[in-house]
Amino acid sequence: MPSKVIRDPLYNYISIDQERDRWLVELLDCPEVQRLRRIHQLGVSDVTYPGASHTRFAHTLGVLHLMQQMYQRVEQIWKDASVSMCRPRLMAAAVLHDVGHGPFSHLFEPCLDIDHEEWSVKIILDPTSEVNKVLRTVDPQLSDGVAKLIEKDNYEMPQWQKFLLSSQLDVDRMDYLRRDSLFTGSGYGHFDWHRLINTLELHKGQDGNLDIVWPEKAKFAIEEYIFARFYMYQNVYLHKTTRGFEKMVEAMWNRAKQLRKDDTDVLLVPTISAYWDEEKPTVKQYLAIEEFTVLQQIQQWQEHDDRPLSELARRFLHRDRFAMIEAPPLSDGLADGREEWEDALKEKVNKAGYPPESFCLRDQLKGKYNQPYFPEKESDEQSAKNAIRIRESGREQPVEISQLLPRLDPITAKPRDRYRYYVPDEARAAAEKLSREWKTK
Amino acid sequence: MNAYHLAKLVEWAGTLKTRKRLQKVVYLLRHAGCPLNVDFTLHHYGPYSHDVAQRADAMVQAGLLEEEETSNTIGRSFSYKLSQTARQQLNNMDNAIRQKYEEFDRFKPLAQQLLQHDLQKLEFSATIAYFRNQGQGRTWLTAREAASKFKNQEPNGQDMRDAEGLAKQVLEWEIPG
Repeated sequence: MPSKVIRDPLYNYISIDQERDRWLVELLDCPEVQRLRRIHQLGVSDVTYPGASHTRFAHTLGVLHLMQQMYQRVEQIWKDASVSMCRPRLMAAAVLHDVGHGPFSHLFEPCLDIDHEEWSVKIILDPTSEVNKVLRTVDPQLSDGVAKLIEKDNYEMPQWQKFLLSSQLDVDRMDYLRRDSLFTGSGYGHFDWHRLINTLELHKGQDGNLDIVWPEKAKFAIEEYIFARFYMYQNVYLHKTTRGFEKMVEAMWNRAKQLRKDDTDVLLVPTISAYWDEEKPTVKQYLAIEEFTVLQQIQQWQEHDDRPLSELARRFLHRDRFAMIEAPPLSDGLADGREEWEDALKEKVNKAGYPPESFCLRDQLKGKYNQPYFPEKESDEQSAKNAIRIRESGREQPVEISQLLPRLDPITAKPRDRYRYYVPDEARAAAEKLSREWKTK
Repeated sequence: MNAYHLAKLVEWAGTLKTRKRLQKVVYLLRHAGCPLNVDFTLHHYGPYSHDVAQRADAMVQAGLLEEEETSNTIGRSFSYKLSQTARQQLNNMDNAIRQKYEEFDRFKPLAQQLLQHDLQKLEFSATIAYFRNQGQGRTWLTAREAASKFKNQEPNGQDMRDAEGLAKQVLEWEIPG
């Protein structure tokens, strides 16, 4: 039986051996996986980068492709029966790692109170789901093993397998950095991914667990990857326009939830109403919420009597953005004075005629996003999850990479939260003046 | 967890030895109900928080903490002391701010007790507490078994029993007065 080949803009051909892996094709054909074709990989980033309309499905295929290559590498360097036994689990986890994502990926998680990893696990373990049925045809225990590999805090499966899928340098990140770079057109996501895959090593730690490390010869490829990650965060993931619309969507849904709590009819579309009315929504109810569902909901809110709700809905659909105000430099001391600054800013927004709860939006960019590679520096707390480590010849313990490449210091050693505020244009001048004058206080 | 919380922890410790100790003590304090808004994930060496690690580094950058690096067979480790600037700011803090942190400050005796413990015991204890807090239906026994499997330890060994004892003691700890 010939291989199934799928054309991909990053890897040209993604190939699945139908002789050995027919079940993987069936897994990809499941409705829960096909649904990922209708989920934007980058949420609403296309408000900034119009080309960023690629989907979770394309990313899923890319992750599968990289996992196949990673597995091949491990198979070559670690001759052990346990490695061949874990192959189906790793491949299925690659296909299903994002199956629980909701509309517009991460964007609607706070709006709908979703944790996509939790839903991925629920979908995989639900005996009525199609993916569960396919996994059972391969091995009755497979769904359980895949769920454990994907579940955030579950370490029942060997850690090195988990780290291939989720760590500081994993197949997920390696695909999305390059894919997002290509589709946004920003071009920052370049690094030597072939070298990263083909030099990976397994290292037995003092506690007997296998962990992932790289040899010294891979250090420049890793450096390139870390910088690619840094540039992508600065230019794409944390872009001020995109973040502004994300905050707007969040404010809109918070307003709707507040109104609903106060017994106001928020004109819910049936799918969302069914999901919110249920204390423990079913997998079927969750999967029914699609991007077109939430867009229909937002369209309906444009006509709502509540002004903040209708105004936010209109602004989102018409790409009518808020002005971004940078926070003034605040004290480095134990009390930074942020509350006073925010109260003063809210006052300006209020004076411009907008209720600050919905129209003065704070975006806290945590240091870990602002500096996307933020290694733990104490050796006794490191693993592939919080550090990328290099095995040097003659040294028993691997070394965290920024110790070998001081060039990385500027982007790894100063973790700072960064704050931005979004306000309507009518409040912009007053807010900017306030920010300027705050600096002189 | 903000700069005040970490400054007080370091003040209570005198010298806070190792970041690992900081991580596990913060987790156990939270387990005791201490008002610390911080996210943890389960990590190779028990509960770990990026936010705590980042806060420590940011305070070193801001001159509020003094950091000292030491090397041993495992690699690098770090200890922290309060800087003179931070000490002055704590002393000069106005009453309104002090009142805001009254509840946190009541955890001083527990924090000081935890800071004295053996590092491995803190790691095992925090890991057991993590499993206990994770998911419904976890008992102390199943949490100890899960943590033992995770740490490659004998579940009925003395180390894990002692660690469980500490985790229980922390949970049952009552604010004095």
